[in-house]
Amino acid sequence: MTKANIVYSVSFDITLYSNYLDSYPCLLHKGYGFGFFPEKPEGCNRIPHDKMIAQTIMDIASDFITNQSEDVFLLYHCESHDGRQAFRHKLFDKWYLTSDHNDKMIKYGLEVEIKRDSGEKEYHYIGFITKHDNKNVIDAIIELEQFSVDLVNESTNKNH
Amino acid sequence: MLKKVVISANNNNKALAFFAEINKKKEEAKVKFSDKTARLREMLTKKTGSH
Repeated sequence: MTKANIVYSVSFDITLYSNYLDSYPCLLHKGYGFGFFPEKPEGCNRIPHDKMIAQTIMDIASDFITNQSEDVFLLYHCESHDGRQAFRHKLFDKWYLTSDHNDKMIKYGLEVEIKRDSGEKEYHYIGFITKHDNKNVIDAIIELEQFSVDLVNESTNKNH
Repeated sequence: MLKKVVISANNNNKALAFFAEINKKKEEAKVKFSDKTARLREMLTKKTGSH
């Protein structure tokens, strides 16, 4: 809980992406859906800046992967229900880059651009965090990029 | 290592459905957390107030 009485919940959910990762063994094997969200007290409309939030979330992520085998992946997606995914992506990047743990962790992210019929472009952000010494990281990067290509390619057949 | 790649698609229903479903799952998780969060907030508020 922050000084402003905002409670943050952090989750590591092994089922969040599992239905989509059959063809991506590195990401599926030990891939946890990593998420966090604030819950504001009644009457609170905005979250005041508090540097402890970033530090604590990154501490929790680091603790989690430190206690897992080297092939663990924290898979993330910036929530897009309110159109603020680009803001979340920038903020999460900043948290990672300024974290005390970024020498122990690798963060890799992709921006997926979707053009709607109206001509408007929509952007989504997915990625993972893993241990610096994860020997499968290159395979995982290839898998994540292939996953994104398959996701935006309507005609992709999983068997080919 | 931090890399950004842009993958473009035209009005892709499959991709949009994927992101909508993950958003929905996360919203459902928030609802599941809300009771626990309320209890935690009450507990921490009492604890803080007692000092």
